[in-house]
Amino acid sequence: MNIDNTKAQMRKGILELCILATISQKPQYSSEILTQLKAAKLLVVEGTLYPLLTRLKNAKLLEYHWEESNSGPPRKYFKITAKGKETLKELTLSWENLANAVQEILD
Amino acid sequence: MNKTINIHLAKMPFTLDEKAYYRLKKYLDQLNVLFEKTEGKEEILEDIEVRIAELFAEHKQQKEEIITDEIVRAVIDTLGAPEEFVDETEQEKNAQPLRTRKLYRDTDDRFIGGVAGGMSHYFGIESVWIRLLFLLLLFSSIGGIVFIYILLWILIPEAVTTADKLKMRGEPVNVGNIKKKIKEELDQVSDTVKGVDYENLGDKVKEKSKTIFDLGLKGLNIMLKLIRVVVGVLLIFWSSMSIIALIISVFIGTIFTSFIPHELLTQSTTYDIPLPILITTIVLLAGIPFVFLFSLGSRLLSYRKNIMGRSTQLFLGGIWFVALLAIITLAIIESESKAITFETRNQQSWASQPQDTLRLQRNNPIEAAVTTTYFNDERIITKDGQQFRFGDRIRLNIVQNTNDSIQLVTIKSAKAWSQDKAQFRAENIEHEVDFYDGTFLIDQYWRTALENKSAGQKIKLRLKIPEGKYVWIDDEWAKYLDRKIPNDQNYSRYNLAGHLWKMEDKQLVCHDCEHFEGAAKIDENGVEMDIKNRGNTKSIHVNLNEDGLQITTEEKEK
Repeated sequence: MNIDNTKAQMRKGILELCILATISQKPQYSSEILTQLKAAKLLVVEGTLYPLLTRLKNAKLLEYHWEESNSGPPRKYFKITAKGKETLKELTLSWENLANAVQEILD
Repeated sequence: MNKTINIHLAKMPFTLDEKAYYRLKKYLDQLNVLFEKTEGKEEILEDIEVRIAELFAEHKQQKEEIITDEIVRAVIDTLGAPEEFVDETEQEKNAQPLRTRKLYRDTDDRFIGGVAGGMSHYFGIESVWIRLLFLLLLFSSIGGIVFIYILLWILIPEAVTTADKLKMRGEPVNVGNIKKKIKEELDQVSDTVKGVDYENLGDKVKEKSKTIFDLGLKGLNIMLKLIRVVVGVLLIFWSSMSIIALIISVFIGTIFTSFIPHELLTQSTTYDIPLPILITTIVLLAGIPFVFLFSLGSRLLSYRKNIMGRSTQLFLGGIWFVALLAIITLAIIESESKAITFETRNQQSWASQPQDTLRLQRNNPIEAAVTTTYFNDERIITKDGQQFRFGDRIRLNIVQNTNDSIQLVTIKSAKAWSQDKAQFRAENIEHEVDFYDGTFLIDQYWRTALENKSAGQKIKLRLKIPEGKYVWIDDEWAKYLDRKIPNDQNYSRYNLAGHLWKMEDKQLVCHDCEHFEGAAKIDENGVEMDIKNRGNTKSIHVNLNEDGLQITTEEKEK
């Protein structure tokens, strides 16, 4: 059994939830999202984020706008949509249920 | 000293060293393939480029002006290798294109259409081998491969995008790969062996087969290299020898043709193409293929991609094609220009005095006083400002006439591309025959104006004499005699000359052809000789020995 693979599978399932959660407070650009996810050790490589962001955007759960930056290239600021907020609520609920259930079994 | 390359990423300028640039480019190409079938591909790639630019910009702020290979490697580590993307983003189905190779035409490595270049990627063989194979097939299939090539050219798509190019390269099944695969299988085998607890034995088997296999591969590699060197050397040797031979023959040819008067040279061609131009065209036609072979040979030896630049190749190829067209056109014109033969027939009759012996004499129509250009048997004379060509293609045949008169039939023939022209040329062959006092005076050369060209002009003379007529053929007529003059001696051409003949029963009968056959024996007993004439009617026997000289003659009635 490949433990790394299982870990990756577990992370994968909750990544979308976490992305929505990070931008629900205030609009953020991709590097900020990366910093948070990496700090939480949810991301191993950065590249994983971009297809997810595009998928969420295509599902109209988030939207973005460009802003110039002083120190680097222009930044894409992501903002959650109304639909995104609803999804976030739903996902949060199911995560809490799941976490409780798992915790119960583990205890 | 390192080369640097300036690029723009997400509208920001960066300076990369060469190695870093190629690593980055390869990475982006791989991502391009990875996301090929993903919705929003452009956006994902754009986001990633922006992120790379951000990471580069951080380095730039730390006063690192040039992005090095290490930096690019660190950035790729941060972003993740394409395989890592795949694991976490459900892109497994898109991972396929990275592995499977597809057949494309490689227009970056092409000679004609890039078919060989593409096939070389597909089979993992260097393109020069495939080209060599094509070349061999070209000779052995008498050009049949050309159609196959064109078909392949049409059917195989060109690798246009970077994704295509990556798919084209894919993971070639090369020697190293086979090695890897077989090693894997060997490992599997040894694992099984281990499973049945023959650990040591299994390892030994594994080690042994590995060594043998490695040795075999090495041998194969060395053989291939050897063949390559041999073929390369042969190609270079063959092509350079051919080029040298060509140059020498042109040199010698030029010297020889300079002896031939210009008027004569242009007599045989329909159009007066200057000789140097003709020679140059032929040299180009014959020489350029050897230049290509030479370059192929040196490519085999030096492992370099191009000895000749693409433009040089195109230029030489173009010139060769033009030369080929020119020669083909010329050949067609020339062969057409002699397509039709026309014969004119003229008959003269004289009364025959039965008792007279007919004599044939030559008349030389070329007067000594005029300017003459000679080369071999061809001659051009200038008379009253007009130029004529003289030829000696004249053949005389002697047959029996049905009546008592002497007749001479003159058949003049010439060739041209049309009936009218051929007739005109035939009619413009001038040739005179005089008959007086039992003697023929026949021109030994015919004459025609220069503008009638050398167009196969010739004259056949048919002398018809009544039965019982004697004819004396002088030695000087030897070279003009026909091969098939019917005669009792079965003589042909030259042999008929210098004898007196009589027309009897549709053939010439010789009246002074006494021929003897003999045998001689000389030994310690003395000399013995036997001489007989033809038909065995007369014979003489001579014997000289210690008894003295003995001569016996014998004559039989026929």
